[in-house]
Amino acid sequence: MKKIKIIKNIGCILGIVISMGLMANTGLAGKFPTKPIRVIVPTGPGGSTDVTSRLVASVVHQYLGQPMIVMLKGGAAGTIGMAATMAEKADGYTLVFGTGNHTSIVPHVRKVTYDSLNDFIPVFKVNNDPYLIISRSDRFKNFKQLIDEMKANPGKISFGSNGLYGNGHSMILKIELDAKVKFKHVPFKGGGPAIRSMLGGHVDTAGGLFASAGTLGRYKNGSVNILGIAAEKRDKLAPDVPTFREQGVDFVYQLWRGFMAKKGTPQDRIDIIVDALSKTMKDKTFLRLMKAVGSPPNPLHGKEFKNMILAEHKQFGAIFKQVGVTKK
Amino acid sequence: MEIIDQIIQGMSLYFTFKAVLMVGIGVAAGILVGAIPGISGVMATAILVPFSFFMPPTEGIPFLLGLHKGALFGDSIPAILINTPGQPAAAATALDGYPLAKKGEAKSGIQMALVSSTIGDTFSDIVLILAAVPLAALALKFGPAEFFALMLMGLTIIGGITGSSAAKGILSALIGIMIGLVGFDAVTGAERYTFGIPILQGGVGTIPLMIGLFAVSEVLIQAEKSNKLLSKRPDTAHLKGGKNLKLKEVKTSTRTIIRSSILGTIIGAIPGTGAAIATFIGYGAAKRASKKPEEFGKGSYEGVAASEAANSAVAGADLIPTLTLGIPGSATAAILMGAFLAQGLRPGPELFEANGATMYAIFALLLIGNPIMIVVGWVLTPIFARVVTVRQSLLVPAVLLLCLMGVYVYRGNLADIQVALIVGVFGYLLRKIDIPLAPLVIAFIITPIAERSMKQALILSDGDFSVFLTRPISAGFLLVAVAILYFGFRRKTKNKKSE
Amino acid sequence: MKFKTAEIITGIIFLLYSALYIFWITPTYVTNALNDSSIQTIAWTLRPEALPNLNIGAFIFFTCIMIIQATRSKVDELVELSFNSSFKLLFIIACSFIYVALLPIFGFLTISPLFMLILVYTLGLRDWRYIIGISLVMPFLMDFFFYQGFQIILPEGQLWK
Repeated sequence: MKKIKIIKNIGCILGIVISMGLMANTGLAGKFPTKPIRVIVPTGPGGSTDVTSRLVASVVHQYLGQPMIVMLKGGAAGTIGMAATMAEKADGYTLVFGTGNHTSIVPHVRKVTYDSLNDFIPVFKVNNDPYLIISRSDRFKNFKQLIDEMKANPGKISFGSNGLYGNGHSMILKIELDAKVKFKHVPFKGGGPAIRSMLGGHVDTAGGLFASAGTLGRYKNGSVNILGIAAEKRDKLAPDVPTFREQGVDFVYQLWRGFMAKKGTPQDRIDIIVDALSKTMKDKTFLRLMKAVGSPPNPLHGKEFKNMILAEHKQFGAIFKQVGVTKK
Repeated sequence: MEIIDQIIQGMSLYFTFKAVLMVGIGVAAGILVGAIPGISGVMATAILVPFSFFMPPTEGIPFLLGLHKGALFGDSIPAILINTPGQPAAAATALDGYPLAKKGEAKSGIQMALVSSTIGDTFSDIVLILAAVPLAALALKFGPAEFFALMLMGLTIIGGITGSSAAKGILSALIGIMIGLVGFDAVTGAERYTFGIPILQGGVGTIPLMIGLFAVSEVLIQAEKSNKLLSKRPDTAHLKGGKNLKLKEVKTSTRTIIRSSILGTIIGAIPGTGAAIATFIGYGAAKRASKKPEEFGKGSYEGVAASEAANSAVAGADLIPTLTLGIPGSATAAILMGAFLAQGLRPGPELFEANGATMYAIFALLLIGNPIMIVVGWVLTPIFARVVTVRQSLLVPAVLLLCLMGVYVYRGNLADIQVALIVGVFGYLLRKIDIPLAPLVIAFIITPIAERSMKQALILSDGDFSVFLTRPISAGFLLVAVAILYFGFRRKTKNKKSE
Repeated sequence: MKFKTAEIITGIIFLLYSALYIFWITPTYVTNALNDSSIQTIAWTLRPEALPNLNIGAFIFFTCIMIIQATRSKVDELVELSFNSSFKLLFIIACSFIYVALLPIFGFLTISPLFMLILVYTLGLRDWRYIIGISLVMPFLMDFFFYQGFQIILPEGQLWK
């Protein structure tokens, strides 16, 4: 430890007072948190998950008393970031900011080194967006027309997804099962390109969220139709759009974004984090920013959050099992 | 005149001294950040966007626009000085910029990059302002088949930059394809050549590949020299980075700059193609059209101008699909879009109706950012150019450390550094037997896009290859590709006969 | 070693690698982690190994052309490869790998000055003021810049946690 001290002294001489000041905190005892909390975001820069995590981090430090530092660890559909979280200590100083895709879909179709349900404690859900199926308004008027046309021409209606066995693909697998139809699945790299292709008329339908690629604006000006919404209730943003359940497809998928901690993190520390996050969700600046981004907070924590993930995980497990896709 | 009203209203709101100052600060920050290998413009914008949330829109957005511009030019600085392109797009700049720096003309090389970069940017900004809507409509016409044809055409244009031996150039590209195939297959989900290493599942990272291939191999090439030479001040040190750029050098490259600006703007307006492809196409086209193609790769100002103008022309054009469709054309544009959203501007079809005044002010700031960039860049260039006066035994380790950490920062994974080191050794061996690296990089970038769009097109056509010929845009691209191959071949046989 | 000899040796290595690629690497390392019936019926053009096979075919063809061109070549250049410099390069690469391996244990700020020190010394500088100066300034400056400027944390040592 002496070596570190010497190095630190030199650092101070070099004028790195601020950075060193933050690090020197690490050794002091005191009320949690006594040093910055790191949040691993298992995606690349610029996506909605990254943006949401940075929005939270830019406000939560007021209530936490320590900065929250976003660390992007993308790659391999988020499995690298999740695994990296498992390699850290369960002391509450490292959290992971994931989505339903990371906990409930990816573990069914990818080799993973962790158990997404039992190795992580769901801490706090920040927001969620229902998944949608969209088409150009001159292509399909409603879900029934889509299904009817698919029954007339099996395997001819195309769907642009954000990737193989991703959110969008899982949705149409369920539609195929429940409505007894067959899509022509075209995987894209991300939701944006899929929606662009749909707008250009290259694919018939695409998946997405209200906030993705200007969908809500297009729906409002009438250039696209939202055919179905994967929520339990109709959404305030588009009250005319029926849910999938209303249309005979038992599929609910709200793409949520939230914090999780490694198994074994002390409950009192989790409580402190939850408390700070709850206050953040009521913060005026935060509410304004989240509203502007198009995805207002919808907080959930504790047992309810855990149950939601369990139900979601079970739903996707059942879909992949029925389709006949299993891990070797 | 409602539009004029809107413009005046927007100007009075946004076009303040403070806003212009924020553009300047953004440009300076962008150049500094871009100059660090590994921290790309994308990363810098992503990290700095949250700060803009807490600024009023009249300061936050100008800052980000400046940052976006500065980072693109900043990438060219290490490419020219130490042969370390932090971004694939800057790899074409390194081809001629680094030989210039070795000749002791680092300063004028960077200034050439700055000037052509600014001209390209200005051009595409003007196109964005005048023709955003029709170009966005054109972008929508690009389906999988068109993308594939565009990629093939790009490859044939780039085929002109193979170096001394065509066979070696093609081999380099084929190695690039081999590396580009690593990772999950988009259509079947098969894992290809990952050897069970998790970091390879999404493919070999672009930044580790770039840094390894260019920077690490360059470190090895330098380290090979005798220790006596390495610890002495470089021969060109007394030049202090060399002279300033002459107007003559810009004049002789005018046609090249204009050509690259047009190419960059068109390719940039098509979302998902990326700056690297535009840059290499600009460079390849310039070499084909040049009166002195033999100087390319040996320190040609025209070469630097060709790639930098195309690179920066993408920046403005990138915003076309972002602002008009609400669909970002690149990762940086995606982040900018997030910032726009947080400021209450909603990119997409309704943007100009709802926020017309603000948009015109933003356009004005985009334009004013270009002269600011020239000024800031011109002031900073001599400082950067001093790097060439540092003795190599200090510079080489410092560059290596910076590059390795740049690779780490890319996605916070130490395995990426190992990838970069392995690629570096491989790149060093390729350079030893004169296999050019540029075709490898460009093939590596094109492979995933081309393979995916080809398979998407085939899924949609139920396996019918004629889709590439029956769609007019796609057929047009393929025709151009065939023409380029034909004329290229004819010129080569003619040259041989005349020898 | 003559340049054309080096080219021919490279060509032979490329051909050997191609054989390995076709008969071992592609069959072993193009796999699907899922049992997915839809993949069995897929058209050959969409199969994951279609492009790799096409690519390796072209690779073999152009490697042969390179070898033929090399045997006909009249250029008599030599490849610079001295024993001394190769040893130095191997040492630098080995150091880099060890450095990466030690990073997660000791952390960036502890191990980087040492790494820099060894590299600068290996490259022949003997002025200790410079050596120690750059070895300390560079890592601290980087750590400061990355953290203060971008809130990026460079690798921390597990040992000190």
